[in-house]
Amino acid sequence: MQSKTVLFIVRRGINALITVVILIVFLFSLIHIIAPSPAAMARIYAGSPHVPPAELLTIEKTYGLNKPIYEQMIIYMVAIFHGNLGVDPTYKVPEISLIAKFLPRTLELVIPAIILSVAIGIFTGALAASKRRKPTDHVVKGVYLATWASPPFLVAAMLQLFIGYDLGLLPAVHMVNPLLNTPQNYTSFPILNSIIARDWPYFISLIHHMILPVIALSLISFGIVTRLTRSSMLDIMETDYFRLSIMKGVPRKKAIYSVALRNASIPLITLIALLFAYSVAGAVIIEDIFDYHGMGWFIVHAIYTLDYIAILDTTIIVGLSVIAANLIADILYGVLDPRVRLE
Amino acid sequence: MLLTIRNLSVFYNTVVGKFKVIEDMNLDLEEGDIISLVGESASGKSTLGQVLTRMLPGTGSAEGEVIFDGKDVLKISENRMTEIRGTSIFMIFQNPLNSLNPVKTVGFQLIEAARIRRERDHLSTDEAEMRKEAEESLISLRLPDADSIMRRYPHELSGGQVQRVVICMALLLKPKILIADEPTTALDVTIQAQVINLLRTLNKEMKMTIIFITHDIGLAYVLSNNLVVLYSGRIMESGNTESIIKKPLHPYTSGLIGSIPNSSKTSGKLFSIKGSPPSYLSLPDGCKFSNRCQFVFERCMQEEPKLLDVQDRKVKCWLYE
Amino acid sequence: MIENVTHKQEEKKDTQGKLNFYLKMVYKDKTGFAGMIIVLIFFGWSFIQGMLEIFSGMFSDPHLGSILLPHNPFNFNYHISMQGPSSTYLLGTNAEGEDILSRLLYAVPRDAFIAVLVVASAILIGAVLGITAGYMGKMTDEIIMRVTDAFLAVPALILVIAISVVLNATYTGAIIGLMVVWWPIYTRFFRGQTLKIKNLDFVQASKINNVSKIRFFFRYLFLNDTDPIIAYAALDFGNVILTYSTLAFLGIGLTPPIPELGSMAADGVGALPTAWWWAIFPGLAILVIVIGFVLLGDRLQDIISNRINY
Ligand SMILES: Nc1ncnc2c1ncn2[C@@H]1O[C@H](COP(=O)(O)OP(=O)(O)OP(=O)(O)O)[C@@H](O)[C@H]1O
Ligand SMILES: [Mg+2]
Repeated sequence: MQSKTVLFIVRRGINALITVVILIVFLFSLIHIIAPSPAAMARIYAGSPHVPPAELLTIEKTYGLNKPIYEQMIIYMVAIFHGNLGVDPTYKVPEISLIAKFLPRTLELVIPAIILSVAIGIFTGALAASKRRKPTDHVVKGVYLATWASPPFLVAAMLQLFIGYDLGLLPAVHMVNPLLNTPQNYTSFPILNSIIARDWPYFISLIHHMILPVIALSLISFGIVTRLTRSSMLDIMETDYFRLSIMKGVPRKKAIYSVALRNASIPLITLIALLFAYSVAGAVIIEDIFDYHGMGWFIVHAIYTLDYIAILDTTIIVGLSVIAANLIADILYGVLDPRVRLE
Repeated sequence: MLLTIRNLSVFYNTVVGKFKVIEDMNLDLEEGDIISLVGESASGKSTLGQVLTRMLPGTGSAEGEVIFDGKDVLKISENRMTEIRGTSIFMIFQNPLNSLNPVKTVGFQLIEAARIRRERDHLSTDEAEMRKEAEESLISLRLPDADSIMRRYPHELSGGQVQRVVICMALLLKPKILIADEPTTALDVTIQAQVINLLRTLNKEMKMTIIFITHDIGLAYVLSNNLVVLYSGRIMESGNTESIIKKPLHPYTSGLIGSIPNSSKTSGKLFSIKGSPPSYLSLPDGCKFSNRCQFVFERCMQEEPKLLDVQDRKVKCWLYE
Repeated sequence: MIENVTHKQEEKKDTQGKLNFYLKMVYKDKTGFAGMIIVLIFFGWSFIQGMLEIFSGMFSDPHLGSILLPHNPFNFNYHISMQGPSSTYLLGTNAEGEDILSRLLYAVPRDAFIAVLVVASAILIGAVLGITAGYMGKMTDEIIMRVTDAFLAVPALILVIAISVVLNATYTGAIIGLMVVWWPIYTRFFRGQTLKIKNLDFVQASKINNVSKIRFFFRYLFLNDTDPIIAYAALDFGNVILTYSTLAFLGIGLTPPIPELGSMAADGVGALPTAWWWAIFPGLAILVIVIGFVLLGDRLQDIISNRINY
């Protein structure tokens, strides 16, 4: 059993690694398709189409752009695994430092949003399943279908309009009150920094500014959880083993929560990776609307400036995090469900 | 009377429409009876068992009365029904393979049953005691390595072992009425005999009333004192097991008995009823067996017979009017 | 043998019966029916208005494109800039004084076009890759599935953004991006179906070469096992529309003044607390369209998986 689990994890790990390599190869080819010559590549690195040829040549040299393609690809891949993602042509600093600055801020939105949407999703899904075909079920379904079908910018704009502007309950834009002094950068997570520095006004302002974007993010993604919870609970409630526990005399409510919900929550683990991917994608829009300077905001800016390198690098980073999240979910699933075996 | 069924009808909703599986059934069950339900596949045996415990699937619905202990099982509240299930009426479902929760150990699920019984009897719910009781019940079903089985997950057991674990639950719950829906299908002949003996002991020592559902008239003969023959959701013949099997009155019953291999009447040849049961969506007008019956005449096709009192039993056939 | 399975006439009758059955089941459920109506109106309007827009381009007659619309969607008029909803301008006007309702109606056909194009291409690519992977097995299967995984690893939106930005964030770039990203789920689906039928006796028994076997799988899957695809595709039209509108919101797509639902909302967000209608109505329009597909797809999935409310 133990060695089987280890083998299972190793196999998943290798698969994940292959996936990462394929992704990098794809993105590498993508940029070489639009910039087929070393000079064209050099122009991208220079960040401007009007560069004197002499300068292009130096760029070609420094980045090895005139080497054969496969060699460049290997260099590129090795660089990525060393955390070297190139220099951003707009900001003129290493790309990795920008990502290191913006990614933690996005995680500060995405992680609470995932927790919130799992909570809302499980609650509403269980409620709907236990009240199948009753009004509660229909209301839950109506709400999650509506949030599912809304474009993320509509959800964000509505929240901003009603709660931020009309009611004035919460700040409608920015990550923190811009008049406050930023605490020292201990961890690159602003919330942790403010806690370490015991800068409570800053901390409270951060939390205040987080609420609307977090709600917006969880609103667009909780429907996935609701739907899966409801349908797997209903499936379980039709199984013989659920019916047998009712038959034994276990009260229906108790059986719904201790058998149906419990068993349904195991496959939910695999959803976390999906939710993560979904929320990161949603963060692009949400951060743009709330003017929250995280990874999403960074991507939107890269779109405006057609900053290819930034876009491809963020794509790699997002891909890596999703693949990692998937791997973790797979492993957790294998550990938690006694039935999961090697294929 | 322990259980009284009056004018019971059961319906199923499907994509192709709503159809009636059990029609206007009346049946009485005395305390201490062992009654066998026999009939071809799809004759409504499992449906009848499920409706008695109010465990029909979501698409099923029922009309009529099922009176147990003076209360109508079909009408009481869900909470009252929960109190009846398990310790008063318990049913072993037909398909044993998926009957155990895959993420809980066998021990957990057996102890859960023991706890329900003990709580309702206001007995101690000491974990060690209940574990011991569960292990003993496993041993009585010829599962000797009880301790190891208790610690396993259902997917680590064979089909026959799962079936016996479910029967163990019945031992632990000690219901007044036990409905056993083909409880021996996954068992080999020796263990099958063991289970039959066990059921008989339960019936004798604890006065447990048993409804035994089976295809196998031979098993019904060995175990039960009363027999109910179902066809298309109707009782065709019911009465004392021995007398029915010695001298069946309804042509369908004779057919069923004739279809046991090695029966003396067919001198070794496998006899079977011609044709197959009609679909519930297009039942014949008169007697539902009329299209397969050797003795069919005019009236059978026009009018459905009533359940008539003939000799020591009830028969639904115009031959005995 | 294979001729038997794909016997023309039988299929036709069968498909007809199944279609009738589905229509009846959709009709029976109020929400599924509402979804179907929305979808029909959406495609109907897109077809008519889309034709008019094409003709207006062909005959260079700008009037033709707005013949059915309440106002000219390109009529700059700063006197009526940012007016709230009124009886003349039902959904209000934007900063340029253009009628928002007319611009919405003008923009809708492009979403229908993209949805159909992207889903159709995804089904096609997915079928080719999935059937090949499922049938060939071994190394081929392994390679195709790892590539599929790699594409599924990155959230679709992010990958589409990457591809379309590399293609200069244009309309064509957005469409190519969507088409490049959309196929993996269908590949998995077709692979699963192929594995299922690959082991059927008559398929194993038939002595034809690999190429025509793959062709046979194509015919078999497209004629016999389309239900889950149709249900999923109905949902997926909505997903494409959502993603495309998000791209347009981020400035990837057509250049102004040509209206797009997403870019209209993006322009409106800047004017938010005051001219709320400018951002909210295009968003609501997308919501309604996508809800149509979601309701229809959801109902179809219920029917297929036998989870029907009788
Ligand atoms: N959940 C259900 N939905 C619809 N129809 C059902 C359902 N369960 C059973 N039926 C139908 O009801 C009829 C009686 O089924 P039932 O399971 O009671 O038969 P049975 O006598 O137990 O048969 P078997 O000996 O094969 O177990 C059959 O025609 C069956 O198709
Ligand atoms: Mg049965």
